[in-house]
Amino acid sequence: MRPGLLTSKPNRWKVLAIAIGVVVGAGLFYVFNPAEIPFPPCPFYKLTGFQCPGCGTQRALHSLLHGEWEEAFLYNPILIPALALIALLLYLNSFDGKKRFPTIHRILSGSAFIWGMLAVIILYWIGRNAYRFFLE
Amino acid sequence: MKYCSTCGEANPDNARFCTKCGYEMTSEPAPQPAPATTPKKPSPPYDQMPATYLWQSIVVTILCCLPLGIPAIVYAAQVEKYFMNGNIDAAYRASRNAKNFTIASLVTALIIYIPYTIYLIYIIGAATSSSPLLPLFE
Repeated sequence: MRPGLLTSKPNRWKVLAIAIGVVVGAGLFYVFNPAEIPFPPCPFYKLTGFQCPGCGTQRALHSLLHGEWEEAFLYNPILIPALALIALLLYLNSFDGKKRFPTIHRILSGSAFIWGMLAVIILYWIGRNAYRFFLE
Repeated sequence: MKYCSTCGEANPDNARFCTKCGYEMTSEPAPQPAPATTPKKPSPPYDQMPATYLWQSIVVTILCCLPLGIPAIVYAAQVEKYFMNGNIDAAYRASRNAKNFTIASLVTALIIYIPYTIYLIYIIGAATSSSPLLPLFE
């Protein structure tokens, strides 16, 4: 039987690896400021000159870890809702969330929600570049 | 209950002739009546739906600066639709593609970022300790 959405058990090593990744990543972005140190730039931005949906995330993470919500929002406005959604999905998928909140899990795994989320990301992608070119 | 070998009609066990077509009943077993239509394949229970890998695809789209996460989200969106239509193989294929695209974008990011980071650490280290190799990077 192939493992399904709800039948697959959370893998302890996977959860541990995610936890280590989050702690190490947060530590790096807390200590170093990507606005000062030349952190790896976005290849998409380097190649095309257009911002991608993830541009500004590194600077925004640094600001967020120092409690500077406004700066984080200005660097990448989609980061805070994206992090909230990732945290919710992680809880639902890798912990016991899918048993306790099956309806929420079902909505967030559904085609309608994911297509909607993709539409938001693409509109944001177009919008932030349009904003830079026409309004700044 | 036995069935007429000619027309398939159900008859009492002791009947010698079929009550419908009148042919003599034989002791042969009745032919299986052919199913009228193939029944629609029922969807397996919802908890067997394959994973969408949604959080992983958001991570590679928003948290690491590569738009390769977009196709991963496109595949993630297809999983439930296929599954609900009873197209289980397509649902698993979409799930696998979503997973593969998140891995591909993560690997691409690492291939670009790891050498860059090592180079950066070397530059910073060399600048602070005046390494004899520093002129190589200037």
